[in-house]
Amino acid sequence: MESIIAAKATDISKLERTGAHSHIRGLGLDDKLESRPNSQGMVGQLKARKAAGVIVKVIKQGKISGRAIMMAGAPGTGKTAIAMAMSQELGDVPFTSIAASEVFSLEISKTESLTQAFRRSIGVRIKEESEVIEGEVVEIQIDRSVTGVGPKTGKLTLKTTDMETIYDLGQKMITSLTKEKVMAGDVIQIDKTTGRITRLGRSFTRARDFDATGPDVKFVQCPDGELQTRKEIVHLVSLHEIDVINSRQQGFLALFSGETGEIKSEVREQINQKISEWCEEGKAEIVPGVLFIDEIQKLDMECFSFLNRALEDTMAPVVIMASNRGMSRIRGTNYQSPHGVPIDFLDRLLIISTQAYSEDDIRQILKIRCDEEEVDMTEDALAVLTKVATETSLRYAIHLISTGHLVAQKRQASKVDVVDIKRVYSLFLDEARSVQYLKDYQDEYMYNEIAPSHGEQMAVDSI
Amino acid sequence: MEAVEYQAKVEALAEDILTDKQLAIDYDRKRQENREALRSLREQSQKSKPNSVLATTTVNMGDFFIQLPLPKAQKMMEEAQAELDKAIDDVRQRLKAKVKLLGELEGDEKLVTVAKAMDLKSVSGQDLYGISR
Repeated sequence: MESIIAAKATDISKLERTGAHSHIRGLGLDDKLESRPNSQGMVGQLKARKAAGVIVKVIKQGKISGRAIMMAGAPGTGKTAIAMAMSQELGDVPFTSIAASEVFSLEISKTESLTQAFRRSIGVRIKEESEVIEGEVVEIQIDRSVTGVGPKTGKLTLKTTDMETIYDLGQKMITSLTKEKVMAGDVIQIDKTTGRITRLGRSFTRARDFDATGPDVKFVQCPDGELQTRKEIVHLVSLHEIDVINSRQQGFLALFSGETGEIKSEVREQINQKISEWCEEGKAEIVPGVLFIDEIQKLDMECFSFLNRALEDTMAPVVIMASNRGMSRIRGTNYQSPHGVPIDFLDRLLIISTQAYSEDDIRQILKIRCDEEEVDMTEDALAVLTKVATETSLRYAIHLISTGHLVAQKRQASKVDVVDIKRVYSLFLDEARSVQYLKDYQDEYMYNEIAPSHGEQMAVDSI
Repeated sequence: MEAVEYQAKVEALAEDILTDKQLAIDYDRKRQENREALRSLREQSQKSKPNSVLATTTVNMGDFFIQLPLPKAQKMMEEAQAELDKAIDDVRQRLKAKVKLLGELEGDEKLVTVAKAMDLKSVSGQDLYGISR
């Protein structure tokens, strides 16, 4: 199983996708927590970034848990960007990001979904210890008795760069060695407690033994230091993972397939108790993390009342929410409420508001995105694009960058120019023009029963 | 001046850590040799009659050789082995503390978190997988 996981890990890292927020490396604050105007991929939005910086600092100290923070602002003002930046700044702390619509699923109930998200954001640090013997095989000598029936005996000579010794082999060890097909020149690791043998590869010094080797033969250096060492590995697992591996027979497989299903509350109680015991005994350390819920206005009243209670739990992470609604209806009811969130819930939150970007900020952001997507643009094109962004929206202008690049390539130019921007502007409609088009030709669309005033509201709601 | 003092401290600590590592290697070498000796003693005692006067072995003690009865030689080796195990454990504990100190002096955050985590007591797979049983 180890090799399968290792191979998959390297494959994924070779994919380099540029996502909408892949240019963000951090919050871009200096030592005094003041925001720099353009740093680490973040531009403008100084007050919100400074507030986020304060929160990151308090989280790192581990002093707050079960607190909730809301980022409120118009669409395209950097709420998700600041959340991404916070996750980069936090580093080791577990950061789970979900969209509120993920909470609704046919397989598990809403409360279970939220509980799982909460428990995914709390980490537990544990240490695993094992005595291992690691060395290069000099010689294996296995003797069979004359009659051929009795037990085999054998001797294994292992060496490192500093020492060499001979081990007497028992029956089980001989079987494992023959099963693993260990030969002289292999570098192996024997776990003393389980007796498991792992082949790490072949030694470089014995590379010339054979003229041709198979494709999966790895050459490693002869290990140095002691033959028998104690390996200590520190793991950071989340409470959700511990829940899953304890909830049924083949629990750990469910971690990989993703179909965890509902987990009984008795199991969770037992786990909470065990983990607190371990913390007392010094066997484990709880690392509270951050849960980011985007589009919080999509949750309904039941979820909000659940969240009210869940935030008061002892083992609760820091929850950061983002909402882009003003005064709007709470989902599942007819009540109007600020940000689409009940007022009693709002009372428990620290609210950070984000403002719209200035024209200068927009130009700098577009420049950063051009660099990220590796597109060369003339100064005039950038100015035109900035104008487009201020009149329509930032996201629309960002989309025009890569499409403009393709159009420029078609006319064999290396830099994107004003003519390319004009072409993609005419090809792809932004939201306002699309709504206008809809109003003008609404008779020709299918299923058209919507009156003009409703039509406008629907278009805005669709973001 | 302070910078020089700080550097001197860091270098001394690093030297200390390297010496301890070497010490652990030497102890382990001795331990393996002891283990081989114990095994050959056990084989010898299996071949000969126990408590017989002839059951002796020659032990090398530095500069000279001593002829000892087998059970006594075995007991001596086992005691030496236990002492070596304890010594290696001590060296490892000291090493962990020194590495943590070095991390703090150098301001290497990652090293410090890892070193602090090493102070946890170990948890076995049985423990983790068997919570709900």
